[in-house]
Amino acid sequence: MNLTAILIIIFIVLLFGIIIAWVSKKYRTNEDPVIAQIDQMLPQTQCAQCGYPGCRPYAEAIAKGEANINLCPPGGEETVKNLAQLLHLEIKPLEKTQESNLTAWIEEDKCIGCVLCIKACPVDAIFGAVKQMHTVINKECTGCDLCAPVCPVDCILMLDSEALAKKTL
Amino acid sequence: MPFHSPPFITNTNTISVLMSKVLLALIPALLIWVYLYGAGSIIQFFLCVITCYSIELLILKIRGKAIRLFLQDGTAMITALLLAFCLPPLAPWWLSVCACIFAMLLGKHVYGGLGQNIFNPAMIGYAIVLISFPAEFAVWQGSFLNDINIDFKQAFGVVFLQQEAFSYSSATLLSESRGQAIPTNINWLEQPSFYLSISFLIGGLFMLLLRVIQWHIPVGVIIGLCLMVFLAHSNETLLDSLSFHLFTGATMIGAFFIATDPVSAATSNKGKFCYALMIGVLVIIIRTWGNFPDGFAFAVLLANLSVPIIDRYLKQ
Amino acid sequence: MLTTLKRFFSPKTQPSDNKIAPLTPLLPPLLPSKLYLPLYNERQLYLQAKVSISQHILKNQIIAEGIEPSALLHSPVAGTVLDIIQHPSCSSPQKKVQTIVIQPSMEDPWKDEPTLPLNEEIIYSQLALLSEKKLEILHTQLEKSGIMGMGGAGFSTIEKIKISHRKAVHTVLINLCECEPIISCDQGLSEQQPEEILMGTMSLLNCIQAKQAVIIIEDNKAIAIKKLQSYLQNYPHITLKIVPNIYPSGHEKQLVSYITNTTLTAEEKPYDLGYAVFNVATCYAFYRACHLGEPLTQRLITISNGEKNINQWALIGTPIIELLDAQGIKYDSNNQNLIMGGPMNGLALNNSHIGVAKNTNCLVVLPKNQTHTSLEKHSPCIRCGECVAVCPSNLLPQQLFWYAQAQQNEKSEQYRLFDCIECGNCAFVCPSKIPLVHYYRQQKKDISEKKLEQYKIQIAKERYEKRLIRLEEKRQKHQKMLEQKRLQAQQKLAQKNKQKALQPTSENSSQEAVSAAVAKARATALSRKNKNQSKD
Repeated sequence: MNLTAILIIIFIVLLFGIIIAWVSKKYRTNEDPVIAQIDQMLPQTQCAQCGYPGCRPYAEAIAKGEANINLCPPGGEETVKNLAQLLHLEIKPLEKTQESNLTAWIEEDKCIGCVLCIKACPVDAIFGAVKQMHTVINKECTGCDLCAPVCPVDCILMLDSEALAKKTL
Repeated sequence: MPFHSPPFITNTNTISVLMSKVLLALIPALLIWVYLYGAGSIIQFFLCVITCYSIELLILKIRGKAIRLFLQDGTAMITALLLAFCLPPLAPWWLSVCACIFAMLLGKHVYGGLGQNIFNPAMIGYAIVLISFPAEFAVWQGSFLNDINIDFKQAFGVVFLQQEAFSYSSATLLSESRGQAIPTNINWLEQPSFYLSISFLIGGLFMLLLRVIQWHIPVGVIIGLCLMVFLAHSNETLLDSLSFHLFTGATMIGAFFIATDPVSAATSNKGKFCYALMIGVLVIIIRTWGNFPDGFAFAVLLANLSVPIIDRYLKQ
Repeated sequence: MLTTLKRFFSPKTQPSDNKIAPLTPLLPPLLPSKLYLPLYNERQLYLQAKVSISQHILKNQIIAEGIEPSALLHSPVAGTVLDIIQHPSCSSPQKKVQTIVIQPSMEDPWKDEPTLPLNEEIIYSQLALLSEKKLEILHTQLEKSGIMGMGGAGFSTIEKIKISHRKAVHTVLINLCECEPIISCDQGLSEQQPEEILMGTMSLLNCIQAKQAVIIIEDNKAIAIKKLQSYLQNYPHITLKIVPNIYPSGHEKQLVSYITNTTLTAEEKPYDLGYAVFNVATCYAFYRACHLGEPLTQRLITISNGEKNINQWALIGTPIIELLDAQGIKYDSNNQNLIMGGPMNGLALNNSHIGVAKNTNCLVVLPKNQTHTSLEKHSPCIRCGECVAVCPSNLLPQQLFWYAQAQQNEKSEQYRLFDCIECGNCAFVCPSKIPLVHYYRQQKKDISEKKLEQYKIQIAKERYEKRLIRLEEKRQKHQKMLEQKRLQAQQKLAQKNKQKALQPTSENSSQEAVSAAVAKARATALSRKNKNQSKD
């Protein structure tokens, strides 16, 4: 009698185990949904200040547990808070902070047309050609500050919205 | 930093103005109540008001709130008066004090004070003492109409010194009707509950005219009540007649003064009407098939519970 | 009887009676000692000065331009540019912007600059069918008038006309409902200049190529109604619609709902239903531009301290304090609020030396104790529902307040926060004196910012991903090219080898030639050695 009960239970457990294994195989998602969620929270400036080449790689690193959540200066405290909430981690202060909502601005009379900034821009927001004056498409600029250091004549400024409005007048 | 936000003008309406209008509307009922039940009722009113205000003061101090602002608004006064109308006029002092404490504490401040409570505070206090001490509620003082007239000394003795009150008591129509089938042809003019109901009705209409309350809730309660009476009863005994349900118990005070408490009622006009219908229906169900003679408090509390779901589905 | 019953069952209360100002004859514009004209317009656009310090200028001369062709500033007087300073303006009371200061010339402040060109086609009282080309020329000419919406929003009128024409607007609505309780400048204007307003309306109709115009007027303006009606017989395309005086009937959405009986949602604009709304003051300014060729340099302003209401013509840029002083209204910044716009929805100014702007319709001085002054001091919401009864958009303000406090943005949007027109009715009637409009504004701002950020993130992400794909493609292309080159090189080599295989003899002969050469060399070397030895 006892033996039958034990056998039945073993059978049921096995059955459910098989079902679960089958379902998990059949409906496996190709992508880790956590990575996508983290990526959605990051500001997508692609500034690489976190030490990873872009927001997506940083999201992957966080998901794997390789990176801290407080490495994103453009996202600010808000992003750290959101990430902490999503991943059930403690909120940590940012390692370095950055003024948000900046936009790159090329001083056009100084620009020599070297195309270095164009190559550096992660979102293709700089427009120009060799030996031609370059300009920033303000609407598309994420303010990642990757273009400013590569400029050989230091003609790229990072402006806040107020200063930008005055410049674009 | 100075704070400037439009509009730069407001009308003179404040919470205390609103509550004084409610108080004004309660005056006719207050006079009738005192006339009917005499000295005991006066003691009871003062007891409730003093207890409610002391509790309010104490809790505001503990919670570190702006004491003047909250004591001025007059909501504690309304709670105290509504409670006094619900309790037996010769109830022992500890019963009233308990009711007031429960009302202010469990009805109001545990949820965060004024504006946050999900239940009607007065009904919480009343329901708790009603369930806890049913014996005390069985003794209801006979009114002036039954030739029972007591002076302050007697009332004081009963309320504070635990003297026997049975000699002053008489059964109310509502509790009597549960035991035996009373014929429908009773003389309403001999019934104290009739006068009280009329005075609450007058007060309620006064509030409607001053636009302190809107018509949705009182009308909804009465429609719900009528609907249920027609559905459930055959109109042979008193318990089955509509006039009985309208003019006994807490129907009128409930429809105009208790169910209309804006904090715990539904939000939109449709929601309010639905909430009120529910109260009306529940009152008759509890009166007919329930264990208590009058179910208004329970009906209101149950309806309060369903306010979130009403608000969710009846937004506008 | 029916209306009283209706009112009883749906009690829409009215914030305060629209007291009709005791109308003094409109006062001619005051000539101020200085004019402050900010280089920052009502739509938050910076302008560029076209004059320099101590330059002499004429009346109606263009002194500043913006990137939009219609964002212009004209000098209201002839005079000298005293300075260009940092000064607060009506559009930015909190921050200082560059401001041109003009001193009117003492001899002849009204000396004119040649005015705008006149167009005969649009000044008749009949509809004129104009070609697209003609219209375009007209619109470009009228851009130079610098007219803005004078009801408060400050949208460029010419832009509005262009959009209306593009969207095939059939009916023009002229707003003659004061936008706020105290204001009476539109009423004053329509009582004094009824025919000019009708002429301006016809010009508007012709510029838009619309079919008809409806002047919407509140029922408390009896004189204005009478005067307008007496002229209406000459204008078959203009009708008058009288509406009850309930604040905020002057709001664009309310006006459209009077005509169409449908309420516009937050996303909809009147154009979508074929309507365009113009303020009556704009209409009058348009008349002056079309018929007299004058740009917009002055407007009618209601000046009030709550008891005394005066309508006064004022030059754009006149300092507020001079207007108040001229009417004997005292302003004490410690105990009083100076409000631009009306008391329900206006903007508190903290500097009385600001110059009035094109959309300044009213200046009110009110005691401070009447205002909502703090976020902490108010009583909690008791959900009394007074606000529900007065909300013109049929919202549930108490629920919105609840979600605004809890910063539950999604819930607020479910309760149609963005349909709120910020009229202030709810805060006006609130017994707890909660500054509801403040909460709604904060939350709207918050939600819009978050949405914009999300949108930007999305775009940046897409561009980044596209760039990665592009770089990858480039790399692959490059690799392919390399591969091809290598292949080509290999092929060439293989071909060569093949050729060599075909001519093996030549290969042998070359080897022979080499060995022959080597032998020859050796031979010569040997002979040289021998020679040297023989010498020795």
